[in-house]
Amino acid sequence: MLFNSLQFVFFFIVVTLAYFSLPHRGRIWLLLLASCYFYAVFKPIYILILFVTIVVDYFAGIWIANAEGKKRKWLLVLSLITNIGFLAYFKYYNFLNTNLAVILSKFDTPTPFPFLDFALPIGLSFHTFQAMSYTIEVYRGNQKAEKDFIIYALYVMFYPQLVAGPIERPQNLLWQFHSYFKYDFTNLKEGLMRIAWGLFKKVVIADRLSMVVDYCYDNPQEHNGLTLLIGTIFFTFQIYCDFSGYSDIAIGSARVMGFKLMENFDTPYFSTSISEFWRRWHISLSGWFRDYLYIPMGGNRVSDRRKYFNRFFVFMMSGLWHGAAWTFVIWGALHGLYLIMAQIRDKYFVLKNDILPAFLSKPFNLIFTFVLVMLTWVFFRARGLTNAKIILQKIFSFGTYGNTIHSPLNNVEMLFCWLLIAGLLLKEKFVKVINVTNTTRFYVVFAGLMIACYLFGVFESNQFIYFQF
Amino acid sequence: MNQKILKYTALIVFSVLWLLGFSPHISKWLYAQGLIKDDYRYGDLYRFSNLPQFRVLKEACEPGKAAVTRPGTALYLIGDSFTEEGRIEAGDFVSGSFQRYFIGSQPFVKLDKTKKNILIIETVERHFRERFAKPYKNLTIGEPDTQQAAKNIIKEAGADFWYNSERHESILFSSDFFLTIKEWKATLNENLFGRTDSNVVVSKDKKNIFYELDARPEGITSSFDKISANEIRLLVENVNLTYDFYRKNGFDEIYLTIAPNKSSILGTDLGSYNHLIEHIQKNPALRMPVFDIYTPFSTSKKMLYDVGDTHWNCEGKQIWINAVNQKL
Repeated sequence: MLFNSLQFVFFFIVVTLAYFSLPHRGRIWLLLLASCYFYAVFKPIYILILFVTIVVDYFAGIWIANAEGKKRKWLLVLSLITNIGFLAYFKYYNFLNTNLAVILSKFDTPTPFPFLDFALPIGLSFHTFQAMSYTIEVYRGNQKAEKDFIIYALYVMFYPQLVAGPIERPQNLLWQFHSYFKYDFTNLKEGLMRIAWGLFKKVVIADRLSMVVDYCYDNPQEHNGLTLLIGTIFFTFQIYCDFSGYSDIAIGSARVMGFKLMENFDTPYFSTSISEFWRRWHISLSGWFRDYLYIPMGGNRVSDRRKYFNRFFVFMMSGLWHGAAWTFVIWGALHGLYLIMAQIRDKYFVLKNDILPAFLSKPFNLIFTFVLVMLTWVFFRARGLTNAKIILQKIFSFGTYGNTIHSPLNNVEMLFCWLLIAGLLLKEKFVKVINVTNTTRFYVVFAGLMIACYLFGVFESNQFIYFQF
Repeated sequence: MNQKILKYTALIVFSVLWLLGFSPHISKWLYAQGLIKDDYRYGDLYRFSNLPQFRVLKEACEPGKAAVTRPGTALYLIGDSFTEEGRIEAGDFVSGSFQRYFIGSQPFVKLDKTKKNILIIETVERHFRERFAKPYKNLTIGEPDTQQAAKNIIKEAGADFWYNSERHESILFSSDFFLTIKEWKATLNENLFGRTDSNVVVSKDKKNIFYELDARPEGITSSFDKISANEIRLLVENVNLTYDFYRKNGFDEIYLTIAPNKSSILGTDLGSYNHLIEHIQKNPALRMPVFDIYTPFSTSKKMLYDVGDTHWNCEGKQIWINAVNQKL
């Protein structure tokens, strides 16, 4: 079920009202069944995949907690293989087979493996990673094994964050399912405001920008560099508003019921370095890779060369996590390269005095970081490496920009897009969280946002970008 | 206590409102009771666009009262929305019996051997090229076996008890009050951003509204897409093969009728019409007889389409019915 759909409005109201009408056990069952329905709306059959991973990880958690010595490790490996196995089969099999086919075609030999013809289960990477974090934390002794199967199933399936995160840790979420949250008006106000703001970002900003982005990226060869540059700037904000909007709605929906999910974004485009960007962008995924891949590989406690390799590898994996395509791998690899270059600069090229005065260096770093991040989004969004190359070539061919911007939107709406971006940045700079202490103010702002969502919202391309992952 | 009552009341009200989206039977019942209005009352194009200038009530046609002068004929119609239930009825025809099948479905048909069995295949122009990209053989003569029947029942039950967002929205927000609010948004988009719903195209003189699928500059569904002689030859060949198929399966007469796109008739400022219908109908290789609707539509000075709709109005429909009854 999409957050920006009519059905979700009724689903959310009914589930929340029913939640506050039930005793604790009833609430858990309600949330689990509601989450099953929420997921089944996309494609019912795929709920079986979730069921299998839930059963495997539930028992793996209990057995790991009770086992000792090497047996613990083997049980963890078994659980991880199951999770990664599903991910590999559904997400990466065709990718690997395509690459194999390309290699074998050089020898005039077809690939011996058939291609699979099915849609990727929605949110597979998200719930798989969340399930994996549970067994790893139990193995590490940071989390007690959950004995209650229904609560464990809810940990994996909790509808607000089931299909696009935030990827929660068991330490933050499981105890909340054991708690009984009374109805709280402040939670309701905070949650609803968060939902309204998330929806605004999604339907008013992201989906409006997407009209230009799709137009540019569908046929990049037909557009000039200036058009593609604007398309890329718009995509930089589209993906942010789309994904952070989803996270806001997820966090808000849970908040209304009393649950506190982790934050996933912290004004990432105000970062002054790439490493800062990754502390502010998709925080739950960055944290996952840091804790479960980068640190176990040695983290910062290894030689410089090894450290560079680790970073590069982790970011490549992060790219691959997003999608089974070389464009995503390059996107991740570029971020890895940026970080390595920054580390080398910090180590070998430290200047005694700053080149720029202090009041200029921060804005310069901010813009420089933004541009670096923006250029990587070209690979993330482009349909294939050839298109990405065309787009970058045209963007950097300053002399042949032409004086016309091609756009499916008229001048007024293009201006409106820029105003929305400016408004978004100003809001993020000065009002990180909309204050809901004053109830009258809450009603006015909430109603204003909802009216704006309706009147200025674009409801035609309503899929969330991160659902495909 | 008051809060509890409020909570449970809200729970019940919202649950009921949500459940309305789960079954077509509920919406039909609500409509029959007069609790909701027909969301197509101003036409399908208005329903998409909500542009107030096209909010004109669709003409209600007189129910068909044709006398059965050909009791010995059984008429079978494979048709799309132009000839759907509510637009076309058994009473419109002079035949002894009338059965209609939706063009996209794959029904089983039992022919009445005591009568002359006549089949009409009606398709709108915009889908003609897709539908006849290969011979159109969707009717099966006979009765379904147990497995096929069970499959159909499961399919229908699935459609009966599964949420449908479009249906839900039309139940909740089709009253004139909500349509006025929708019009505010549509007007804002049109006046400020020069944008309408992506499903419609408004003519340059702003007087007519068209379905985007056939009013777009190019593409297989467009009235303005160039068609090669080779494609025309292939289409005619597939129409002929379709004709042979149904003849072999027991139909005595088979007719083709292509309902012209609104954009083909009224969209003169949208582009250069490709004359698909004429290319097919006048093709010397065509063996299937046709009911020519294009000629009367293109030469008429009257408006033969509803203002906010893609389909023909009562007068347009009558032209087609007269053509059919004359052949019967």
